[in-house]
Amino acid sequence: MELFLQYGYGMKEITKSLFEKWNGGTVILSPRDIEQKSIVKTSKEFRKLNGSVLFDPQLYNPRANHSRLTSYDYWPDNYSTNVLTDSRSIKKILFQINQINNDINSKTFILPGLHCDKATNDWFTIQEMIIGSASEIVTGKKKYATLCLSAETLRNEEQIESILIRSESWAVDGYYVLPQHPNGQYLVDDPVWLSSLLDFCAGLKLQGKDVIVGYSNHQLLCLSASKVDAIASGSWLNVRTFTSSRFDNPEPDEQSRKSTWYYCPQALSEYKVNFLNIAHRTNTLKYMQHDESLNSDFASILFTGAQPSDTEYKEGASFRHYLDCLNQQCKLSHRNSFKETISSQELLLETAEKFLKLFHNNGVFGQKRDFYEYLDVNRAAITYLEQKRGFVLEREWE
Amino acid sequence: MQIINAEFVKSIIPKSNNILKLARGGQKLVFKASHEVYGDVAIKFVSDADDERIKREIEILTDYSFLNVPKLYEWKIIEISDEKYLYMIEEFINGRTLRQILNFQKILPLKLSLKLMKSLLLSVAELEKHRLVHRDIKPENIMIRNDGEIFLLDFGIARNLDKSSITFTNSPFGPHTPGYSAPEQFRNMKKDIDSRCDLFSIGVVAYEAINGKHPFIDISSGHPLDILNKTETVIPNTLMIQGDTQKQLAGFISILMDKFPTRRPKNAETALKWFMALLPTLKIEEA
Repeated sequence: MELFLQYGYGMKEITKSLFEKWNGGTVILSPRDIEQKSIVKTSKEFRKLNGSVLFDPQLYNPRANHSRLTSYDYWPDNYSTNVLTDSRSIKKILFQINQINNDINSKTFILPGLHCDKATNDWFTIQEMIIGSASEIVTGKKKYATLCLSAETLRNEEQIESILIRSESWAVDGYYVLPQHPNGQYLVDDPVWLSSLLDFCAGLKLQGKDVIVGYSNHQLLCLSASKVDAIASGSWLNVRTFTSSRFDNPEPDEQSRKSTWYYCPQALSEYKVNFLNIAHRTNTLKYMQHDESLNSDFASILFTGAQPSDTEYKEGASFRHYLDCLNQQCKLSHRNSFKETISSQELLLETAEKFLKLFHNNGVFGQKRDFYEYLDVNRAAITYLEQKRGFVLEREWE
Repeated sequence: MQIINAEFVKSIIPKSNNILKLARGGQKLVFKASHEVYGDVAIKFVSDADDERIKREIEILTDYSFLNVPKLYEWKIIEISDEKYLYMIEEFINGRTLRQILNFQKILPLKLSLKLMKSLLLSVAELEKHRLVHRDIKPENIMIRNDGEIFLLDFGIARNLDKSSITFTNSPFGPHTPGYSAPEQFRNMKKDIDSRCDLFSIGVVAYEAINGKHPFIDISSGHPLDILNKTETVIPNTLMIQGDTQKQLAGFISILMDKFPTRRPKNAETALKWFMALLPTLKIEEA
């Protein structure tokens, strides 16, 4: 499984430094977070670093009111009729998005897709009109359908099955899945939601198509068991968690939020610097250092012996470290068989549990980003996937 | 149908001899006979000659030749007392239906169950190549000949996916047999119907044959709607099969019976391939 970068506030420099280190990568550009006039120039900079660029048109709600989104050429006028409900307006929008895709030299066209509160006939009709029109307009690029699903849709087995079976006939090369996190949770405590996501993505993969899951975080490393091709993540929580409200209205960008976190990959948890100070005092910090094999230096400064809060470990390093480690973890999650992948995911959770117990015993907690209470959520989801689709995935893995 | 007896059959099919009435049910009357050209045959009379489903069955049986399906040699529409009847001369299969066998001995030995599964999967894979779905695989429609050969009968509700459906789109239920038909079939979700429906039925038949118990029908569930409800909601217990060392066979039958088509094998060809691959994992001791 690969890690794609989900473009968000302040992601330009982070993307550049990571692409430089990785000698390439893929970023999904977000019109909410970049002006149309800057998009070509920024893409060029990424491509110079061997990067690939995708464009998510973010038309989940065409009536969204975010000023940067609405400033894009293709964004429908608030008062225009038949937005995305007649083929003429769809073709016009696709044509304009296609122009942007051509300008940024993307190899894959992410088709617009409406937010799905419930998989109704209307929603299917619009999805299919978009896909049908795209086949006339988009040439020479892969086409991914956007599946932007509410948490309730995802939790409903029948709804998920109806999308899986209906999408079997869609003329696309892959899917860009945007699963709304329940109640805006960063780490999700609902095993049904996570199990359904794994089940759904596995169902899409079994169609023989690409699957990219956007707005993800390390909890979704388990999607490697569904053989997902890539998850996308970014700097702030609003690009690691999908909430449709982020696109509806302008919201303050993230710079006002001050906490700097350290991601401990072996514990699947993040810690504020003050808790790292506790770890330093209780001689636990050395266990929090990421393994050398992850080959990431962005947070090395925390482990030089000084009290962590006295170091120059700042936000930028925190984001780079998180994404760099996650990138490695994504790569490592790819195994040759379904069974091996399941075992490696189980081991990841076992290991995290051991570290978390050690940290807790020494007063080191990740608070809301402590993975301890989510371990069983992930275990439940993996077991569910194994039970529902294990037989088939074992045989279709290659 | 009163007038149709052995003498009448002889009068309209002179090459038939030793004519014996076998069964009568619904709109059908069946005779066994020795035919001078075809050998042992079953002669079926159907009272509603204009029934679209009968026409479709004839069309399927005449257009294609399938390995484990009785051959249709001749058919004709005749008029008796101003009423139209249709008769078909088919290959006679000397044996018993799986239902008759299960009624008598409750379970099928594992070796024969495996042969049954393979034969049904082969048949459905063959149908699938022609875009056909049988839609009525159940013990009553499976005949085991005395020499052990297995045949699939009754294409009365079979569907050619390239042809228009006979069932009304708005009808809440599609043609089905409760307990054996997949949810998407009895819910009349036409767009979702393909050979995965038949795979579901094969799973149920295999489960019943190996286990002696139906996964969705028990003493308390006689009402058809109750059976449909159970088909949609009950997850059958995983089978414990002696010799299924790695639980591959039990797992395979479970996924065939999954209520969601996308969790079943994507087609019959794949299912057959997986079935053949699991056979070496079985240790069968019975003779």
